[in-house]
Order: sequence, then structure tokens, then C-alpha cells
Amino acid sequence: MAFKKYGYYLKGNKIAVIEQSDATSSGNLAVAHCSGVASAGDYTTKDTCEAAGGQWIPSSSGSLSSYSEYASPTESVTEGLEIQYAYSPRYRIPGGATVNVNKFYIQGWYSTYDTSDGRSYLTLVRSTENAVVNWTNAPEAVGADDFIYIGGSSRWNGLHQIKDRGTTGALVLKTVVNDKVESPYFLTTNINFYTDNTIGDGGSATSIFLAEHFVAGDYVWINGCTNAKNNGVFSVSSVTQSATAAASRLTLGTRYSVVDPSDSDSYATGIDSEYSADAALASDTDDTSVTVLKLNKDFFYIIDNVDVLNDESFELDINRYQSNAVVYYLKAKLAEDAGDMEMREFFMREFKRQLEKGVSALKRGPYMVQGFKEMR
Amino acid sequence: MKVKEIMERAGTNQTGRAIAYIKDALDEMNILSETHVTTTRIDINANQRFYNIPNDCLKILDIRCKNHNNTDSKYRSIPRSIYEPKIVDEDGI
Repeated sequence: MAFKKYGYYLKGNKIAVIEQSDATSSGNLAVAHCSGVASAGDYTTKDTCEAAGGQWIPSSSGSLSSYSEYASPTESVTEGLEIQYAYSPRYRIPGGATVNVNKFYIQGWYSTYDTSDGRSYLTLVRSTENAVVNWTNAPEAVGADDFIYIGGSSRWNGLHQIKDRGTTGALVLKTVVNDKVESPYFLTTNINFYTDNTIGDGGSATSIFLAEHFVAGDYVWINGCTNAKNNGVFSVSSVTQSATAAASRLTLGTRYSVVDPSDSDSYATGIDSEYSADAALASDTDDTSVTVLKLNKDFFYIIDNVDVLNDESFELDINRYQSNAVVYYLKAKLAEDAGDMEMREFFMREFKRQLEKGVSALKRGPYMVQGFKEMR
Repeated sequence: MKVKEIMERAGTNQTGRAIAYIKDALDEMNILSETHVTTTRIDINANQRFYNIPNDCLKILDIRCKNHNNTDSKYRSIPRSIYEPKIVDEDGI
């Protein structure tokens, strides 16, 4: 793997990752020279330098215009960015998590628009090699209104609540998505599937020019086709534009699925990984209830049956000393509500003091300071 | 400690208000002294500059990148740039 130099800055609610371009020596160390030997300046050729036991540094060239500039990352790196952060322990995961029992991998998300309240809700999708899952059937039978924990996501980590359990792969959550991004979707419509791995309009009432809505590199979620191999998560490898709806097609590249241990194709991948294979669509031109929509691809997991802080019986995931700090905080807030600011300040000070004492109690022994590796 | 015990110690019987304040207290605790810490990993995509901060993040403690200042696939902390680079991200992604 290549040596890289990254940096970051914050922009609104996002982290901007930047990468330094390859450093060249133009204008600085472009002159060939001898190094690592006494009187190195006396050796002006490679042969004499190496004969004296030195190392010959050749001249180098490069473009000054691109010298060590920071720009967007130039290369994709799987799990290349690691963020360590503090979170609020408002939930507990009782009894741990077991894959395909109470822990389920998810392949991506999109937002479902609810016409009754005008909001878009976070919707997760999951499909195996042979079917899109039914969230009301075992093993994925999550409870209605259950709280779930999302982990391993690039965006949605944390606590969420189930809104609707779909029977065709989609799990709708009560989390509202506020994105203002174009996310084309076509629900329960006529889509034709062809053996050259293309899909196109199958004669729907309103002509659908699929190639106008997607680009190569997008991911799509498809369900509603009677042939199971035509459903699931696919990458779009290319688009073919046409003035005729049926010829305006997407070419699907790779099909992704979560691993079903009983499936002969995917089992060897391991249940913690995502299985992928070239798309192999079966010809199907008579389905009238097919859904095709753009998917935000993100392989993460959910854990069902999470205990949530919403009643008096909840056991906080903090130690007794920290709990006492919480008592002070609660007293401070109650005093604030009663208009007693002096009491509020007193209890808030006690809260911070209790917290600091708890943290300080974990520190022991002398401190050491590490210098930079370049220091001598 | 259970919520009920905290409420009794604070001398309140208003469950809804107490739970709201306890949630505030947990947030405040983690912003002040990071009692609960986790990490997540995100794929870096070519030409994509902006990445979402995790939904449940209260306080960022460290940002590391794979192969930063090394070739051994190790994660190392990356520095924060004071200024935005002059090469802007034109597509805003």
C-alpha cells in the first residue's frame, strides 16, 4: 500500500478529508549529489561517489505546479478513515449480538416518502442470494416499534426505532432523512429484464427513461420481479440513452447480497462479509410491480432488541460514582426550573467536580512525554 | 444505577422530565470527560472529500487514516488543516 499524507478540516456537519499530492523535488533538490561520505562535495559523479562508499542521490524532476498540494483523496481505500468519538450511553445491548439471531447486516439505505406527514424516513435494505428478506419472518423477524442499534455505518450509527417492517427487503425506521439530494425511484411499475444484464421500461403508463436518471457507478435496489435472481442490490456498470423508453436502459454490473449460511454460492464468504458476483439476469418481460430506486450503498449492521432509556426501570450504563454525578445534574436542572440559580450553580459545580474526581481516580503513576520521532 | 433510584435521590417523581434531564446529563458527561468511546471506519472514495460524521457522535476524539505516514496499512492520526486547501472540491461531494 502506498505511503500517504492526509489531513482534514471540518465543513458544517461533515469531515473534509484531503490528501497531499506526491512530493517532487523540482526547484529544491533537483541537483544530483553525493551523500553519506566525508567530503561528499568532492565526488561529482556516481562512480566516484560509490567508489568512496557514498550514496549517489540522482537528480529528480517534477512539476512545481503540483508540489505537495492538498486536494481530495486520489484513491479509494476500503475502511480508510477511522473516527474515534464519544457517544451518549442511552441504550444497552442485552446478551450480546449474534449474527442472524439479533444482528443483521444491511446493504444500504434510501429514504421513503410518507405522504401522510410529508416526511422522508430512513429505509434499510437486505437481500440474500436467493431472496429479498421478509422482516416479519424468522430469522429477521424484528419486533414492531422495536428499538435497534446501527453500527459500522458511515453515517447512521446509534439508536433508531422501527416504523414499518417490509416483506420485500425494506425496513423503514422512524429516523427522518433531511437530505436534499436527487434520489430517483420508480415504484411498482413495468420493468423488463434482459439476459444481457440490461433493464428498461416494460410499457408502463408513463414512459420511464431509466438511463436519464442513473449514471454508471450508481447502485440500485430492485424488487418485485418474480425471478428472485433479478431482485436485490446491483451496481450500474453503464447506461444506454435512447429516445425510446424501452431502449433507455441500465446495464447492471455486480449483484450484492448478505451471506446466507445455507446458500451454496455465498456461504464461503463468511457471514460478516458481503457476497458479490456478476449480475446474471433472467429474461423477464411480464412483471408489472417492479421497484427500481437509487440506493446509498453502505454495508453495516443492526442489532435488535435494544434496551432504551425511556422508563424508570432502565439501568444506566455508567458506574455508581458517575450516577451520583447525574443526580447532581438532575438536582441542578430542577433548581433551574424553580428559578433558584444559586442552587443551580452549586449542584452544577458538584456535578463537574464529581465527574472530574471519577476520571482522576483512574490515573496513577508518573507521566511521560513522547517526543516526535524526528527529535534527537 | 436505575433511573428510579436517581429520581428518588434527586427528589422528583416526574418521570418524563427526569429522563430528559438524565439524557442531557449523559451528553454533558461525555462532552466533558469522554466516559463512553467507540470508533467507526468509513471507506475513502477517490475524489470524494466530504464524509458524514456518525449520527451518535458527541465529540470527536481522533481521526485516523490508513497508511497515513506509513506503508504498513496502519491507522495514524491525521492533522487538522487550519485553512481549506486552495484546490476546492468542485462537486461538493
